[in-house]
Amino acid sequence: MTQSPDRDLMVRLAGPRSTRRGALMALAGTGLGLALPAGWRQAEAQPAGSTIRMTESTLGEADPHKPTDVPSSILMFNLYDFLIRPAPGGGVSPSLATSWEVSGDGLTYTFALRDDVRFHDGKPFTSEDVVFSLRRMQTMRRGFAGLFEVIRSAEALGPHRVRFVLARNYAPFLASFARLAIVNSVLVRANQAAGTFGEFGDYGQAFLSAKDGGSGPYVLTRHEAQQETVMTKFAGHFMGHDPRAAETVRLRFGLQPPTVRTMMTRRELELTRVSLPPEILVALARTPGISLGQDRAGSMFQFKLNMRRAPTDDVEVRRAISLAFDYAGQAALLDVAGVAAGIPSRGPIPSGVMGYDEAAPTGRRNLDAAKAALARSKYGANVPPLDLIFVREFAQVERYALLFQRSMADIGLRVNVLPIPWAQYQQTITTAESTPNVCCIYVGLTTPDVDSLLWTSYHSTSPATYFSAQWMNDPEVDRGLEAGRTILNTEQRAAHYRALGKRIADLVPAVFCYDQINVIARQNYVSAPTLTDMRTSVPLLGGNYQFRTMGVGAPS
Amino acid sequence: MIRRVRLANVAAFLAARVGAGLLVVFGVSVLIFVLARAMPGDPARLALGPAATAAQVERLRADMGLDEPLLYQYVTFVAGALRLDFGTSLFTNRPVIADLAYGFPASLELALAAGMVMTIFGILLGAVSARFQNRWPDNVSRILSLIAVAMPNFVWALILMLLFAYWAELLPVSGRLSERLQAPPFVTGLVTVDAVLAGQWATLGDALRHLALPAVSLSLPGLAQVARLTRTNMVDVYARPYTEFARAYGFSEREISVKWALRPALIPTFTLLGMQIVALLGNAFLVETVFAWPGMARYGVEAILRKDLNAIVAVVMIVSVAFVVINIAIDLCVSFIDPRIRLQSAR
Repeated sequence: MTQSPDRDLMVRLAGPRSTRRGALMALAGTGLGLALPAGWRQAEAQPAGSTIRMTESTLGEADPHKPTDVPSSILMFNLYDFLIRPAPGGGVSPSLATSWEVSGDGLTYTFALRDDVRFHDGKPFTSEDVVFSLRRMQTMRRGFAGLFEVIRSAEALGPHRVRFVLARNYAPFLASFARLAIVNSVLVRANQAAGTFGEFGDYGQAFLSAKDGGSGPYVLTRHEAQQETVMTKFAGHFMGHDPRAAETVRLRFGLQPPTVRTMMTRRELELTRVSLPPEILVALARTPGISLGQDRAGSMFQFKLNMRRAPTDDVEVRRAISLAFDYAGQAALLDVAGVAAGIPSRGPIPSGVMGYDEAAPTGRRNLDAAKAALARSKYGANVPPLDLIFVREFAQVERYALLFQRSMADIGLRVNVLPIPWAQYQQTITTAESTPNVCCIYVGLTTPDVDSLLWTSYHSTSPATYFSAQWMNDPEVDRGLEAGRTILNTEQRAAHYRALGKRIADLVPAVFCYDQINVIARQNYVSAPTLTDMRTSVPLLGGNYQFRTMGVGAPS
Repeated sequence: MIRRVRLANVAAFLAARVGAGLLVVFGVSVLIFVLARAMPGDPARLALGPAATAAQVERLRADMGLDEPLLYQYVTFVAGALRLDFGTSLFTNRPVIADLAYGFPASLELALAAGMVMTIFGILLGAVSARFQNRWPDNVSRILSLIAVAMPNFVWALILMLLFAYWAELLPVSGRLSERLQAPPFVTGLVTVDAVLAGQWATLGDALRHLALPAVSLSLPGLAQVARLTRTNMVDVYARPYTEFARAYGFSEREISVKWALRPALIPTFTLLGMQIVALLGNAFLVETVFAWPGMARYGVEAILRKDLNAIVAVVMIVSVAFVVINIAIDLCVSFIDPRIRLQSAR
């Protein structure tokens, strides 16, 4: 029972021929399929002048009284208004408040408010909205609520006048208002759901997480957890917009560097906020029509040294580490296609912030001095190895960690480098005992006031966070930080923080590496003053992304 | 009478599978519930950020019920899950079920599209390869399969993006629809299906273009496995006497391929396909990440990174239920192809 030779021959002849034909047809079909959409190539590319599409790391929290991160801060600054706004170049400027008076004892602040402001739904803004917003924040105790604990009472003195009485002197008080977004009290009350806040139900949390209740320059029109947030221009904003301001702003989440590069090249993105690998930035810088910009937000990169764990509990060991670090090597890593991703730090206060000391020296490597300091330490020649952790998700930081390891080898210090995920990082630093000797981290200002960085980092009562991973407990620094909150004169206060910064630097709680500048890429048809001229940077998390001031399209 | 016996067999078979499936879901629920809580990191601290005071963190922990005994937490979770209430996500601050209602259809659409590509082209490639064993179509097919299976799907994602989006600029690289289009009215959550139901053909075309690169990248390693498995089994069947017998009877090669060689060879292939398609639901996160596909897999990974307990548990439960359901469906398919499996199981 075998196949006949003729049939076999037929099969052999017919089979491959038909398959070859099929393969050719499949190829032709594929070619046709790919050629057809060629006409749609620019379908995704928007005409300039209408939209800003920007990469964002993750969904921001739309409720302005809950979050503390950058994506949420960007939403906050664009959807809401504040009594006082962070100003370009540092400091604060009037916004919803036109002026304010401070009583002689510094405990009573009275604000005069604008009378020409309307919320997005048309309701006029009044002092009741200010009082409601403050009480909402104080009651919910989320986000930056801690900044307002000092307020003993808040009272509306009229539709456009409000008074705050403080429990004690608190110099950063005005700057704190850059974090009190004013919500539409009537709208929020009308949309409150059942909750744990008595007559206020859930205080409108469910509503404000999905919709906006603000008066800011943009209106929230879409807020999808896994894809994008869309904002459209609010034409009735009291401060107005740049004449070429985008009608629509789209914040796209979770785009990976290769995708960002492809989309930027195809002009499907206008701006990249999320930190990109240097290789991608270099490639984008070479692409016609794309430029690099600098986002300086008052943050710094540090190797924090645990002051309560051996051997970094000895100031001489910490000094040796600081002297042995290869600052020049790190500076080389910060050059991205000729654009600096950081400038050398001069102590614990970033440049452009009150108390920054331009006369203080930047870090410089001196191996002989480092070895001498090590010899003076109580550990002498028997210094135990150091444990160093960095957040695995921050790819660039791994290079710094390895540079640190190599630098310390030159003075005979062994360093165990441990990459760990962010969730574990935060857990690891909850106690002094569990915090490793060295923690690589970025820290920055959360309000325009220097206190927001120094207090959370160095006061002995500040909560255990990555800010405070050096576990400082120095009575002199504590007193200095407490005094800084009571000095109302700006110049005296600046001098005080300069001196305090020197005291902190002398204790070497960290290797102060550089003031961070996030290098971003933008299409040339987008003008973004805060990202192109660092003198106009807003030194605050997310402060440089106020789309009202940006323009799209050819200059008019 | 015979029909009644057959129905009884199917019912017994189904009951056994459903019972086993429920046990699996229960086991997974206990395991993931405990594991999610054993992971390092305080979810309340992660949710509130570094500026929160200890009192704020403690309050949120109490609100989340994390200060209750573990058993009480589990019972509360099960009671909620039965009502499809998985609590609120710490990451999005929305009910987890609302997030999943958005992400699950996106992942399902991607997995189904990848599954279709995998099934059609995998079986076709395997069948052609076996039919022309050791000739050029077979050799080409084997080389292609080897290349496809050797590289993980995210590498394929990057290669395809480079070819069809960066250089050729033919296909989109992110999302499910172009910005200029409105999503069709929500019926199934699958944009392609909803576009057909709404008669929005331009939207359908756009959705298919967005689906092309992620679905093909996701399918390639599995497609190669299916092709290799189909080829091996068909080659084995071609060597059986009954195939020779069919040939001797003068059946055409096409009939022999489809009726005698392919059908028995499909049983292990179907089983593999079932596992692959379900696995795609959970494993698609890298492809979803590369193409910014707003699916459940990416959501699940972000939930893990933020230790968003409710979201982690919900995603794992949804995947495990889908795994059980699709496996039962595959078992049913296989049992109809080969009744001996059904009968053995019923006994």
